[in-house]
Amino acid sequence: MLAPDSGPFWFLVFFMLLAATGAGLLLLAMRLAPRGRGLLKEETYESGQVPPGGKRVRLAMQYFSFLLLFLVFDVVAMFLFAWGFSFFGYGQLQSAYMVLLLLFLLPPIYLTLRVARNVGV
Amino acid sequence: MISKSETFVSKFQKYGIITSILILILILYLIFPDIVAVVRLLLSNPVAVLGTGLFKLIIFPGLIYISLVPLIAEWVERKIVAKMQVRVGPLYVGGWEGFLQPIADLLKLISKEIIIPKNADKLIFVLSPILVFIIGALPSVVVPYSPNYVIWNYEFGVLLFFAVLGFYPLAVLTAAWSSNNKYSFIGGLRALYQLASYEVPLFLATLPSVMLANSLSLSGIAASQSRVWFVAFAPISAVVFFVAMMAELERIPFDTPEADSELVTGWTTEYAGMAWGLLQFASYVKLTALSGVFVVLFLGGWQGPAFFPPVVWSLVKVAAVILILLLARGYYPRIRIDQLVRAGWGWLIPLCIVNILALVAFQPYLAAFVR
Repeated sequence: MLAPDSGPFWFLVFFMLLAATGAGLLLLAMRLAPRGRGLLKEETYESGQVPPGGKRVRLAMQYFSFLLLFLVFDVVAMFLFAWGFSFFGYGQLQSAYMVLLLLFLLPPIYLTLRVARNVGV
Repeated sequence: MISKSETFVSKFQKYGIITSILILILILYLIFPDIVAVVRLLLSNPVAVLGTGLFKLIIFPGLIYISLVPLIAEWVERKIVAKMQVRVGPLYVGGWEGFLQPIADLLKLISKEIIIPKNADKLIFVLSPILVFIIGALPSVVVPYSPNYVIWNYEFGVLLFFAVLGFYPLAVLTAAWSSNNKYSFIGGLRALYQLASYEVPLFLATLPSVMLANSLSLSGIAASQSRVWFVAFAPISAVVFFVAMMAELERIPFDTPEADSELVTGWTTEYAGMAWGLLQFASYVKLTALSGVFVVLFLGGWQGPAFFPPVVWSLVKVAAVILILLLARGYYPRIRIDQLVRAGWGWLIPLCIVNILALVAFQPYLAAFVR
């Protein structure tokens, strides 16, 4: 599989080359740049204020339901690719089942958007 | 007084240099036979070097190309946006219209200190720009610029492209969370919503091209557009892909994750110097990869009248797509996060489905035009 001069081989080498490039640029910058004195530069940035207390902030994830919807859609999209790969191999009648699957995707979106609107998100 | 961050930096330098040298030695060991072959070719038949794997890896669709495009794109963007806003933009560096400004920026970024906040998760904080850069650049590996100029001509290239790109939100969230900053975290969450919402339209808009070409390889899709470009059969999908592409790149109408008037610079707030530069570089590299794939999916890839070689057609089309992407920055205001999510789910996905339905409805008539 990883024969020299094959696709996966170049993929692997490209991956390592990118890692070396990124790390090299960072290390070069660390080596070349002067280090500033003083500890104030290491404070968390809060537009000039000294950050009070808490290390981690907690935020409401208002659009969480959309992330769940994303999980469903990504899986369905994968199935669609398995069908689309041999689209001309099937007749229109067989493709109709896929169309049904596609249309079943629309009500959840409508419902989620409606709930989101009602909640005021 | 030496702070924790400074001890971390010196430790990171020590182990980082060792690891990088080991990786470089491993790369040299792996590609040593190719280097020998290329040197022999240079002595006997220099033109044949253009077709070797090593040339593709290092120079044309590989490292040098994907590093040069961001430099050019940055200058063009600054110049064009400046003209649109009746400014002059970069003017002095390099003489003519300040065309060496990106190089000056690069030198500036390399000579700036990378500040690591004391509350940050230091190792992850430093490593995540590298991760973002790798994930942004790796998809270019399957994008063909001509039948020859592709690093990996993979049968399932479309799937590999989007599978690698699917890790991008994860890397962004890692960077945001490890900064331990409110602005970064809010920006990271917004980036997560945006990238997740627009990945589905991006993926679904690819489907018409795959259906028409009966192929999952990007080279196969480009090759089957020799008669008609797929933008003729899938115009809605092309528009949806373009919009979703803009959102995936976090460019101006969709730049809520780094909204500079609300969130400082969003999830990149705590990054300074070259670490920030690497994140910015990653976003431009991703722009190159996505424009390349847009050209392959809808604009016929390397196909064009024969008076130019295929590579030139690819590059011209990619340059045009990048230019339109850059122009959008001068035209549009930023949209709100709820508008963004609603547009992604409520408009783009149904539009994708409409295009797929149209293809199914006209299936018997389509076979004559494709291939």
